[in-house]
Amino acid sequence: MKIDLTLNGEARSVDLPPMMRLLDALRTLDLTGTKEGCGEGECGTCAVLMNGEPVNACLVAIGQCGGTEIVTIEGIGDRQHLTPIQQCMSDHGGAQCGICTPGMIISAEALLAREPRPTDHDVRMAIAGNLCRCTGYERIVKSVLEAAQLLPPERLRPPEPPPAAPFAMDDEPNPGSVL
Amino acid sequence: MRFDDVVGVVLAAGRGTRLGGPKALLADRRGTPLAAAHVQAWSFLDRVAVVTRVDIADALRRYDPQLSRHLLISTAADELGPAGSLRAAALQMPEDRVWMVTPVDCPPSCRATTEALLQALRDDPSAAASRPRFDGRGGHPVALRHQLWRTYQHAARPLRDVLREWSDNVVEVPVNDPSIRVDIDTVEDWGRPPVFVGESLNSIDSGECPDETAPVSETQNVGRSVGRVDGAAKVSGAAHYVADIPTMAGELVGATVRSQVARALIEKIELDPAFDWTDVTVVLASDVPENVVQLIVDDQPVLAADRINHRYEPVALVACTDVQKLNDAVRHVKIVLKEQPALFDPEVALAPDAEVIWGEDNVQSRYLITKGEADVAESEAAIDILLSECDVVVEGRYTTHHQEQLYIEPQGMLAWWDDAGVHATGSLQCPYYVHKAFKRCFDVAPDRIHITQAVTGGGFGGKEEYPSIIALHAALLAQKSGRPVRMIYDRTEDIEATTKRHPSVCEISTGCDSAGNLKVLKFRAVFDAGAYVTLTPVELSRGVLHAGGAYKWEHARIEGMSVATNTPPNGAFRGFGAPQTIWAIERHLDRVAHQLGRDPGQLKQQNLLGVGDTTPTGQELRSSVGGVACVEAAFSASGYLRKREEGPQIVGRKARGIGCSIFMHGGGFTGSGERMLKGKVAVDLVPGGGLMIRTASTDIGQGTETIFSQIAADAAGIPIERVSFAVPSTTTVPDSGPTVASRTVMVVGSIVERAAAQVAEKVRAEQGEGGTWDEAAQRLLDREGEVSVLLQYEPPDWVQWDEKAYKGDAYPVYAWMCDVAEVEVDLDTYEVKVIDFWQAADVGKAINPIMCKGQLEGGTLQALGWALCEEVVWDEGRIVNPRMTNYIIPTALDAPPFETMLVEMPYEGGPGGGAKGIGELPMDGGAPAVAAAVEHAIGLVMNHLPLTPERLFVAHSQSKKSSRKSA
Repeated sequence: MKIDLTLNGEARSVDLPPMMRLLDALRTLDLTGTKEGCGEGECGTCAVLMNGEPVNACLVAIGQCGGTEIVTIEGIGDRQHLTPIQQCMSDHGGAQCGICTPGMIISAEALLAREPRPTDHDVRMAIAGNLCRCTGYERIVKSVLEAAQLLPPERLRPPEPPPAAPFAMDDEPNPGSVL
Repeated sequence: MRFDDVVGVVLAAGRGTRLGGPKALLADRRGTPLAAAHVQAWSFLDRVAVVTRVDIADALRRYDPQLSRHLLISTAADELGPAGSLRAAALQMPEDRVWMVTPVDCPPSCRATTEALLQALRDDPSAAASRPRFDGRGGHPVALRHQLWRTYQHAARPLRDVLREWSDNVVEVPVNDPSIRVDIDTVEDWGRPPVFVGESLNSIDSGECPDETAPVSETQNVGRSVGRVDGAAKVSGAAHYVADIPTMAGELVGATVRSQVARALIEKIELDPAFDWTDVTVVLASDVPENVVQLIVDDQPVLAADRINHRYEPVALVACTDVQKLNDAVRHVKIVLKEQPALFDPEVALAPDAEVIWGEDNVQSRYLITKGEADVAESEAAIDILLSECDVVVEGRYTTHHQEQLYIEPQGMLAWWDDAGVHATGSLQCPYYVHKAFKRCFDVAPDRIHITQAVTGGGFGGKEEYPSIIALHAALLAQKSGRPVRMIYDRTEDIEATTKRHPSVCEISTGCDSAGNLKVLKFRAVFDAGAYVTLTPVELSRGVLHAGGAYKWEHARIEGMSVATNTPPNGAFRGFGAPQTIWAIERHLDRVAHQLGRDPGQLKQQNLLGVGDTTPTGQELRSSVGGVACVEAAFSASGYLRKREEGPQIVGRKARGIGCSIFMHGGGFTGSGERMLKGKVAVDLVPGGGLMIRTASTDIGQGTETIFSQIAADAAGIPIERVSFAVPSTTTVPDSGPTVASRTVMVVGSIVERAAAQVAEKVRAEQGEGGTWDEAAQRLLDREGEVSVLLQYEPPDWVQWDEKAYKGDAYPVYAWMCDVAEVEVDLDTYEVKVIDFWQAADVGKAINPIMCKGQLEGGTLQALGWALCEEVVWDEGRIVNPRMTNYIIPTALDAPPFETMLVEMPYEGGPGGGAKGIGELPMDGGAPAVAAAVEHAIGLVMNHLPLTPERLFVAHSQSKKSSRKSA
């Protein structure tokens, strides 16, 4: 099946069995930065961004990816161009064996994209779906908090207004609601 | 006059805010910090102990590494002032010493005054103390006899008050020394603007811990948290784990056909004739050249030939190009067998009439340690008599369960054969273990076996011995098919088939006096080995060697045995036998404290081993004994004693409690292990003037590459960027021994240090002929072709071990630790949440403080998982929950915030100024600390792991029922 998607910022067209796991599809494209830990959506090691949200690539079929924007660890930053999160994970003990690290970074990037000044608890919530067996998480949380301090100021937007109440008597239809 | 029984005690823990910095670091005109000046002035005494805080000690050590042996770390001073420091000293100092006590903020004592004070004590046997007088007023130092200073073992009170109380026994000594009256409190006293020694001054000034990332100096790497040298590759996804190695030409995927029963005789193996086997390679036991996995005992076959001993035993191997077909092929291999009765419980296996499943009586190994008047191997009578003579005797039974290592990268290996011989590369800790297994199984020349580590996604012991099996399997398929074969387990197969932590049953009887002084220990440990021996005897050995815990016992009898069951073989897992026995002894001492009406923490503190004390094997602890300092640090940071006294806090339907554990862990191989192992490391000079470390010690996440680079850079005096780390491959690196046993930094790191220094010496000698380092290095390389130093580990010559009697120096040194856990127990659901965790560890010297803390925190969280949520559920030898969905490890939300404190009592044999092995240490203490906290919170005594909500609920209901009955 032919599938068109945006992969790490590039428009790509792939021809793969639709039920192939996104995780395996990425590997056919030589993108091996996304790792497999459990194959059942428990460990978060294979997390990638799908339209900006972290998903487990072992639970997504490539057939579901048409028209989406997928970002893998390779699309976050390469060795010469590390993001603040990547740099801090390397410098502050956030990465040990490194197998959970790409998925962990994906979740952390998604967090900082929506919350540039997270609390310790925000970070723990954001990475609660990413299992790490090495660090005890303490240094991962510290790395992400440290990275937040390094974000360029333009990333710090004023807080968004609270979302409209779902039952607000508003003339405008709520475009985000499927109900 | 004799000085060999005199110890100078310098009280140097004050923050000294009035001068703008700690007075211990106040530099005189020559730049000598005040604390060091005191040490110099008293150099004629037997020893000087500078009692100080971790951060000040760090600055002093950086000023002069030689000061290390004088430093005694205490955090009690934060809460208790100088009296806290005296208490710390009293708990760690040998008895029968005279103390000369001085605060650091005064001029160093002159020798005449010190001698006069001592003379006064010697002249008057009834005197407990002497102090100098000048011009009618008293001053410092003060000389104290043991009978006076030992009162600090029980309470920390101001010295002024203590001396007043003992005034009848205090001799006043007139001296002609005006300096005894001088205190340095203000800038005026000092006479010039204060300057302090040390880089961490600003942070000390503000009363905070030093910044872990603050650069110390450009040339110093040890002691600094340099970033991971393999960090960029890991955080960018570029690091190649075994699954990421590009596909080789013609590569096949391999799979294992396993038994579905726990014990059986194999009658035959049938390949379904209806299935198309043309493009499938099948390997059976009959294809294996020598069908044995090389380890301690030759009992485990590479593939089962005639009998099955556990449910996941490999029986056949298959490989083909297509994964779908491969899975079908596995299902079409039929094992025709005759089932036999199986055993799953080690205690059942020990019963006299039990089915024999291993050897003659199912017992795989036994150990016996005896000490004191119980040093009688033949019978238990002696220890039983000693017990009966004690004031308080407590008996108990403690059990632990399986634990899966659950490294996030499953086991995997890629193998192929070519003109050079056989190759295997994959996820592993110990390349030479696999090498030896290949040599045995394939009987090929050692130089035709090439075992290479791929980047490895965690091991924790799980990739110590097991990789030999999967590598052999892949290589057998590769040999038969003539093509490269990759085998990577999925998570379920990994949990089912690979090794786990040994379950254990420990029975303990102890005796102590009514004051809580421990006397007699009788300990019996039974470990469930599983179907084959693997490394179990070594684990059991470490278990019994740690069974006495961190405590003094006059008489001991410690017995251990490992017993076979029809479950997958258990094997190495961080802690390696010690977590089981430490769980038991820690829980047991909680019971002893309860019996005595004492706080467990205080009881343990009272009985802690110190310098000069002996362990159950008769090993006298020589140096680097940081137990007391760790306890002080963890207790004061957590407010343990206060919170224990306040009792559990109940808010709504949640109860909060606090508990502690104190423990030690031996670094390196047991006994003469290192001497026999002869670990080797090579350091090469490479073109361009850099160094390359060649070692078989692998980086499995713990940071070997970075830490070895730091050690080598400093030993050679070159920047860390110029040190590289060779990929661990048996073709190119010498056998440094396995990456296990908390030995990598301490043992192998010390070889790296010596070898790097020797290479640098050659370059510097060449530099004598002129030119820069780079030029000299190039000349040397041009002339000699190869410049390399290969060194072998030399254990300290005093290490003596009697393997037969199990006596002597079991380990050259121990790392020490104190954990304090605060938990919240939900009174309805019995969920336990660890809300805070303090841990203080004596690591000797932290080569890389952040990585060191990362080891301690990660290890502790594994221990908390073992204690609270990780449980392998069994049904007749079958694992019911072989998935991450139902084998639960802690997430970021389950993990407590960790406050990790490093105490540094350098070990003279360790690299970088005294590093000790700490990889396994944190695994030992988490579970007993949590169980003690749960007991404090809800009064429930749990002696059996794990403390899952279901088990707590049942135990609590039963205990309520029985207390109602007895009422």
